[in-house]
Amino acid sequence: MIDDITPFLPLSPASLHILLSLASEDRHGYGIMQEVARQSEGQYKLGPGTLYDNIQKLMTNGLVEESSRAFANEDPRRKYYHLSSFGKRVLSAEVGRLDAVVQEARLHLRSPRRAI
Amino acid sequence: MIRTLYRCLVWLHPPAFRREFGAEMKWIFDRARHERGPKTLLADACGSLARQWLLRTGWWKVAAAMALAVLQVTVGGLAMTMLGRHEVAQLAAPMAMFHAPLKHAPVTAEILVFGTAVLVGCLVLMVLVLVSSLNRITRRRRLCSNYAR
Repeated sequence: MIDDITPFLPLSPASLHILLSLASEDRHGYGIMQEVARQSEGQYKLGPGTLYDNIQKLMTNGLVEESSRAFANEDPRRKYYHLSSFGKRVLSAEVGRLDAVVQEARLHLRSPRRAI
Repeated sequence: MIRTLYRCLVWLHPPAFRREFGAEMKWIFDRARHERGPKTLLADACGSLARQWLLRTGWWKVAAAMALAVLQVTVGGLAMTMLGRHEVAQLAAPMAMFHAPLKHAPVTAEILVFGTAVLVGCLVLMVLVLVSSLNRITRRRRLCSNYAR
């Protein structure tokens, strides 16, 4: 099992949004696309090619797994994806990193230093 | 028409990717084409196609090697042209046995075929050498990054 999360940070915007959309529940590809658009208030829209390229990378690195969840009435082409425990750790670390960046930015924007 | 074009673009992806995600991509296209617009989805599929073949399958090495080989041949050809006939004859003196009959003889189909074969052979050789060196570099970098982890 991989323990070191540092090689995965910082996450690309697409990977961050995919992991965030899977944090609350398992979703299929189209569900992830819709959730990403909702989270970003329509400012960031993933296309299927970009989505599956990122999902492929995340699955290879063990951050996302294919879920066994399936419904009787659903299209068999639909596959559900699930955030692994390692993926949760990477996402938490990335959110912490972004939080530090935002705090630092707020601090500097509030009291800008004057150049001497 | 656009649906068929999108299906063709999906079909052109590397087989492993297509098997894993192709059906879902087509399903999403059917669902999202009115919401996102077919042009956006087609552009995304083109980007994905280039990314999958060039970056994920390692074919970028062949493309880079091919570009370098073509550059070498072009630069070489231009240099020879700029040097002029006299200098070329002097440079090619050690190869006089090949040069002499070509100098006065008209350009025949055999000569063209021979020249093309030599050029293609040189290109293939250069591409192979460059791909193997790129492989060695990327392997070394991967080993270093694994060691660093």
